[in-house]
Amino acid sequence: MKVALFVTCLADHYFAEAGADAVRLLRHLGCEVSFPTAQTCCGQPAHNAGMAEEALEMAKHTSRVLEDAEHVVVPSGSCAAMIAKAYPALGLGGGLASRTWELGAFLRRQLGVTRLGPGLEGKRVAYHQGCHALRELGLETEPIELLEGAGAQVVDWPSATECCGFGGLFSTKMPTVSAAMADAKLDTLPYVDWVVSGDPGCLLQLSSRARRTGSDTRFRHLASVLWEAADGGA
Amino acid sequence: MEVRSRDYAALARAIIENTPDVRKAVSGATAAFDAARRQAYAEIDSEAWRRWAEGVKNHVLNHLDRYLEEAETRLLENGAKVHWAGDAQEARQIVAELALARGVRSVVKGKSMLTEEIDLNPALEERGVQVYETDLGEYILQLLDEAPSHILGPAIHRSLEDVQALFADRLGTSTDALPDDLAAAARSDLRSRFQEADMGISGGNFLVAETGTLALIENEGNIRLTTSLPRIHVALVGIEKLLPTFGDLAGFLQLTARAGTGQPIGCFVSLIHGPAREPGDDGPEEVHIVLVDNGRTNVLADEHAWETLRCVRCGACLNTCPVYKQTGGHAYGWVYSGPIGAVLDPGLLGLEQAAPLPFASSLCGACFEACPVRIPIPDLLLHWRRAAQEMGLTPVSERIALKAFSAMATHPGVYRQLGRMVPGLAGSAVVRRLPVLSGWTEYRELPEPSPRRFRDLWSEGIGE
Amino acid sequence: MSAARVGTTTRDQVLGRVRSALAGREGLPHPGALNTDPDGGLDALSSRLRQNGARVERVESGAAPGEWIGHLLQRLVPRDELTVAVGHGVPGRLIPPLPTAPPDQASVGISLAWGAAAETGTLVLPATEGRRVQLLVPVHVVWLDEGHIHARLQDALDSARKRGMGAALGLHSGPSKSADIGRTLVTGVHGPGQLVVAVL
Repeated sequence: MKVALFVTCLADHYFAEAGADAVRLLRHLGCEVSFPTAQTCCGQPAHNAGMAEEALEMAKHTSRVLEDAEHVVVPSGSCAAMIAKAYPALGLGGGLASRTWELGAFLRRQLGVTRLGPGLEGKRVAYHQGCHALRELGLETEPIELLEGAGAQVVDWPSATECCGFGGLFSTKMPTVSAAMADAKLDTLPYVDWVVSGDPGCLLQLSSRARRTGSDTRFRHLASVLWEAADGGA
Repeated sequence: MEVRSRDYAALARAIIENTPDVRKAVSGATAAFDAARRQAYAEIDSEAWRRWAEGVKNHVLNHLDRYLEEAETRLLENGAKVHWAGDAQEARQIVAELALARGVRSVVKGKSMLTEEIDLNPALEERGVQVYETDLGEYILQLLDEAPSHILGPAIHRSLEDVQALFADRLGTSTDALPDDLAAAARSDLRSRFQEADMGISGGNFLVAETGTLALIENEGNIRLTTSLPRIHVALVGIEKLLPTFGDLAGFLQLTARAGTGQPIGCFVSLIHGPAREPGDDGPEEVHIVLVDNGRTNVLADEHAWETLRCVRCGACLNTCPVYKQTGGHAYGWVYSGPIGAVLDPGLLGLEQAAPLPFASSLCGACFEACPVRIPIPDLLLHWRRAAQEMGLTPVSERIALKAFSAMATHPGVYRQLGRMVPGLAGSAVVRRLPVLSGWTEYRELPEPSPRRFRDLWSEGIGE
Repeated sequence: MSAARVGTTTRDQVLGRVRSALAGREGLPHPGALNTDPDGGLDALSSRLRQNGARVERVESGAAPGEWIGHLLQRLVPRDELTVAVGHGVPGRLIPPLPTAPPDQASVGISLAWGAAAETGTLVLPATEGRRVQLLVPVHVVWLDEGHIHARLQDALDSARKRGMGAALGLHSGPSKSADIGRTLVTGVHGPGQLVVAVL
């Protein structure tokens, strides 16, 4: 299966190793992975800020970059949702939306993966459900199934499906509220080895607030954790 | 009420930093309501009910002139009087002049967001009319001289201790009085008000056009008393509150209750047609319905925002919103707060007055999932954000930064070149103090970029 | 905003604004009825009412209803406080042999429901029996004929409409309650704090 990786601007610069792990994981599962180098940003920050023209320009660029891809895999729920849901609404056709997948969704729904390997045996994990992945892409259980299928114990986290407070520019425009939202999640976090999320923005928000408040909780991207699950025994 | 929506960011900050108990109280109350709603939705085919309700409201709004005329005809046949108010000032005038003409000295009021919206109480009080709020939460707020913080539970930002202290001061109860004793004191205080009032003022949840039925939902019974005991009943009803047919009523009564509090129905529902005319009925001699526009026709005319008018004021969106629960309603600076406030206030007040509100959201989408009439709040937030940008109501620096980023992101070569600099900027003191980043670093550590970008790792070959 | 033009009432102005707002908009027809299919009958009704804090009792077979309810009330309300206000039109046989008082002083109010809906646990009460009897008393007794229990709320409302709704109807589904004081549940502010449904 031929897959083009849309790494996302945040992951490109802040979660490069997770992007690399996504590539390793997809190859391990038999995919031929390409990386169209002209990719930049899906346009979501501008779109959400109400800068319609700028968002459309970035969306058109991204559409052109990905137009030949059979499958596009994105290690970010919010960027995948931008392409899969917002692009059609912006009038961008060509079927890109239906060929674009968030990473966990691709593994579960397209590749049918259930058990990646035993690499997470004994790990206690809290999964943060990114809002766009959860509500726009309907990804409630897939990442958890993959984690549990690899031996992890995914703990009950009362505020798991609540927004972390990132919201792109919201995090800096309304910083007090944004931090309070992060606290509402972090204050109810059970003891875990890792907090895992498929969304770079959410990881940045939660991890940087956790560090400021003196917590040493570890935050990891889903791609890296799933690669560890698959490769763990090796 | 003075509009302070422009101060949302500062108000929110002050509430979170200076009065942390408010965040705690609001978070607790909303969590309970939201859990109850989820349970109540799970008991029915909530998707089917919500789509039906959306359809009914869309229909009535799309033929609103016809249904308003029909409602008026039926109400007049029922013996009620119908008044039309184009704006808040007209609405206040209608009620105040009626009170004057009928020799009204005191008024009892049920909870009504619309009466807050039009600032009714001061207009009566300055004419020497005593106004007594009878909803327990509103009664508490009236004693505190505060504005409501939530559609259904106006005083959720106030703790038991707050109420104990307040009642000890005003009603003479002891400072450690139990809730039942506090409630008994309020009941006793208000009982005589109900019986002596010349006029009862209410809002309206729904106005059924086919039969001229005004429906009011509650749990306390104060609305039934307000609309039954005084000789005059005045109901203020937004023109968007219509339902087309009597057959729509049961569905909306149930869905609104399930969405708002998780109940199958409110403990008391008043269905009011007009003044008492039959033997045995000890209800009001006069019933007046004031149909209020106050900006709703502007919203109706907007090809996106009109969907906001489906709102049944249940509060479900407030209860599920992760942003609202950090502050409660006062941060939003006007009557309608939370997700619905963020999309309704710009329509009713104009964006100049309400500009920060559509940005007071992380676009998480929880509100849409909760809304019983499927108002596409996230889409409407984006609509108002686009309008705010076009009207120049956002910081120039933000627009410049996003334009610059967009220019870069549509020129891959430039993007790659400039992106090379990111890893090295991590420790830069200058960077830390950039305005947009100071918003981040006030509460969070600055994240460190990866030492090498993904695209650099790719070009070197990603091995196992 | 609404400068009065000569000869144009506010009504005309508001309706005019509505019409011009809607100009050019398409259909959006009414979606039809919401069809629900809830359980009917006394058990379903009682379950809902009890969940809401109401008491539901069926008259013992063979007992005279008035006496039966009198005994029940004597267990609920201290003897020296027990007075009743009776709604107009409540038949004599349903009235307990107890001292009477006006609704604003009585400890118990006695009503006769037109019908009920099991779907929501709701009693339909006419205004013509006197609203004060339904609202001012601490204990509200509502007589209900089991044959008048509808499954669907809409059916109960439609039945009332056929009968003639009058100036007002009250739909009561439980005792008065509020959680506005520090989120603790309190009853009896301001309507009746106890609801007793007596089923015939």
